[in-house]
Amino acid sequence: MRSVHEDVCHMFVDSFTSVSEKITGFSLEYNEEEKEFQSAQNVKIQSVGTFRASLFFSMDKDFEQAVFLAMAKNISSKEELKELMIGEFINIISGHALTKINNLSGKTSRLTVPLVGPACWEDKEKFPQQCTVFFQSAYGKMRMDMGYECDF
Amino acid sequence: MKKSVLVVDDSPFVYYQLKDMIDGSDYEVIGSARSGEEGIEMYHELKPDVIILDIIMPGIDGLETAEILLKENKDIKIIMLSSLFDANLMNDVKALGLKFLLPKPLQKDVLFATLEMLEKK
Repeated sequence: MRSVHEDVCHMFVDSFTSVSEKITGFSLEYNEEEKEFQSAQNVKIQSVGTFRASLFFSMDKDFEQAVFLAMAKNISSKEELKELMIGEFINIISGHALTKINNLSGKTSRLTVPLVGPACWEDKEKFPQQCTVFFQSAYGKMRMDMGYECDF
Repeated sequence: MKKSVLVVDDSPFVYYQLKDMIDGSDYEVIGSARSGEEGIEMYHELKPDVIILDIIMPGIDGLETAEILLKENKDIKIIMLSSLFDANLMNDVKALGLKFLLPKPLQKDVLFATLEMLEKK
């Protein structure tokens, strides 16, 4: 039987690998081993409520561009929309994972609006549980760092 | 005559997705607002047949926006949209008197089935 800690990480990994393709049309695979890459964009999103978490994502330039173009559906390639699209990508997938956590726990937690930009993960030490996972697509790489605690 | 749709979402993704999905149908997207406040203003200006309203937004969120709009007009047709769609959130949506909460990303068949049900409301 998996621990709560493993379940939480797996819920996010499952959501990223299963929902990403619905948004962008290309798949995202989970990698256990660290893949080095040059981070071009960061996104931070938090969960507040009974499941408190801070999630920090970093992605390389190619991955960021591929997600943006797929989400803009060739209707627009306006650079100023890029951060909004990347934030929405993270918001949708994190929302799917948090939905599973809420439904399983019977408790309520909510997501904050994602922050996109050259931020650092300043509240990492606040959380007793940590996990780091790596994702790879045909177009590039992404890393997720998550710190969390829960009341259930 | 086509039915008009207003999208209220801080991200442009749903607007593009919707334009792509409903192109050639009986619906047309007539506007896009990036916040609840802007959505209320655009509702007054455009009087759309349907509002597609995101829940997680900066400023007043989608639930509060829906509450304000429904106080003005209880018959307004609203489809709530969210990346989060758990049972408690569905209860919050129902408490406003609304029936529809769609998960993001939008699925075309689910969207059209919902629009059809909204017509019968």
